[in-house]
Amino acid sequence: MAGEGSINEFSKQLSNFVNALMHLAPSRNYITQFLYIVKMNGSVDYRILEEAYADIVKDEYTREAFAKAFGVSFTDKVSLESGKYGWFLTEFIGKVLQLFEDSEFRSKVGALLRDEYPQGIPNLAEEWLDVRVKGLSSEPTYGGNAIKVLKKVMRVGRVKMEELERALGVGRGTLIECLNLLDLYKLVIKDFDGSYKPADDLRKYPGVVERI
Amino acid sequence: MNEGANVKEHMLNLINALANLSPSRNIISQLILLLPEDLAVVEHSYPEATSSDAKGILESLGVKFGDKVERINDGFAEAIYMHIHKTFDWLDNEYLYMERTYYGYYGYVDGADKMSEVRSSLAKLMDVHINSIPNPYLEWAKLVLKKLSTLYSKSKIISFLKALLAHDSFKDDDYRRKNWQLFLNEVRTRIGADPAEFEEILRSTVIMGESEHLYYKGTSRHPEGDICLEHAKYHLDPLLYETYRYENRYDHEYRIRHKETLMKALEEAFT
Repeated sequence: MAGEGSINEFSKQLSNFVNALMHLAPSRNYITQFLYIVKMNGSVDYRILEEAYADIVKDEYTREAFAKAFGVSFTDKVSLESGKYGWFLTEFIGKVLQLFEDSEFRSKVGALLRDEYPQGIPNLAEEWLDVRVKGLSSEPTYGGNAIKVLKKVMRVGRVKMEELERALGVGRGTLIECLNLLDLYKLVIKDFDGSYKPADDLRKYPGVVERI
Repeated sequence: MNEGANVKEHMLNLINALANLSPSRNIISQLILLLPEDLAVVEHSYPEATSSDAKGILESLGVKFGDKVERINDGFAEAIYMHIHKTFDWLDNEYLYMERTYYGYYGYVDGADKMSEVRSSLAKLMDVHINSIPNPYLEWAKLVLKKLSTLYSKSKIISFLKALLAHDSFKDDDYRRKNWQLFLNEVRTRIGADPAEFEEILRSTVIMGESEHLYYKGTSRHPEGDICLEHAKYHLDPLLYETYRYENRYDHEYRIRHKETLMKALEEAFT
């Protein structure tokens, strides 16, 4: 049977392991956030990312290094080349988010690392959603309206563009920009009939939007 | 979303996190990498990982404890096992991917290529010397070689690996792999290992009969072969196994991977 020393040694190793996984989360790392946003969307307009991730996209030197190191393709669209490391890393990050969403895993780890994480082990999937919603709300031009649209979509469950226009009194052009932003952050899903509904993780964690 | 983020600082955090997940720096990754293994061996080699609390956490990660300890399919342990291999290759400029090229009449043809400028690109992004970027494969190789030298004669391990690394590849035109077998017989005699010991050295370092299919080559209409990674017990995995189809015949080739790094590991582990 393992003694106390063994458990302490395991706790130390577990702490390093969990810390390293948490540092990969797109909510905590600008690089993985950029890669994960691209992965979630398949491809993103260059102009959008040029504004949102200027430090990476605007500088040719940095772009070239990202292309060679991670397999990011920069044309009028930005995407991850299939099979290259950026693609693989974002797949792995998806698994990390799933792991930290598992309450059983979090409570077992939290019990061993109570001193280090007195508030418990964070749910990285919820944290990532929180970062996206906050990022949306802080968008200078359309952020405020986009949050209104999101709250309406969540309240109603499924809504068409015309209904949003009527209910919120927002012009069609602004509404399209807001829905583009919501789509970029994968907060709403456009259904086959043209209506919009909240993304699955918003259904799981509605409090994230309510807190805004 | 992340206003005023510092690319250099975040890149450094990312690379450090990836390195800290490698088996040379963490026993959880190490144990997961080396599974499946007998429970008795795990209890002996990793006593800290077999307390009930530790077992509970490892089970949440997708490790199954029975007479054998193994990774379950589709669990997180399986994902990190794959991740460790990919990061080994990536940070050692050995990451392999398939490139589809258009050749007019022949259509699209798949061929394997390497992401060979990873370390230099990361060095630029982090504004550091290339040698200060962690190399998890090198770290792991040095640990494994030191461990192997406690199990077998150090000189046999060094001589075998040096003989292997003197080659770029071993090509054969029949499935019996005549050239490869010739090499093995010759090197076994030269290092003075008995057949059982030599088999153990082979399983530990280069090949244990667990082949991971990576890619199909050729076109979807005319497949021309496969690329597989040969796993060894300690996952130094220096052999890439490729087959090529010519008419009704297949050529077989072992290509040696991580050559320079393994040479460096041999020097650094034993000096």
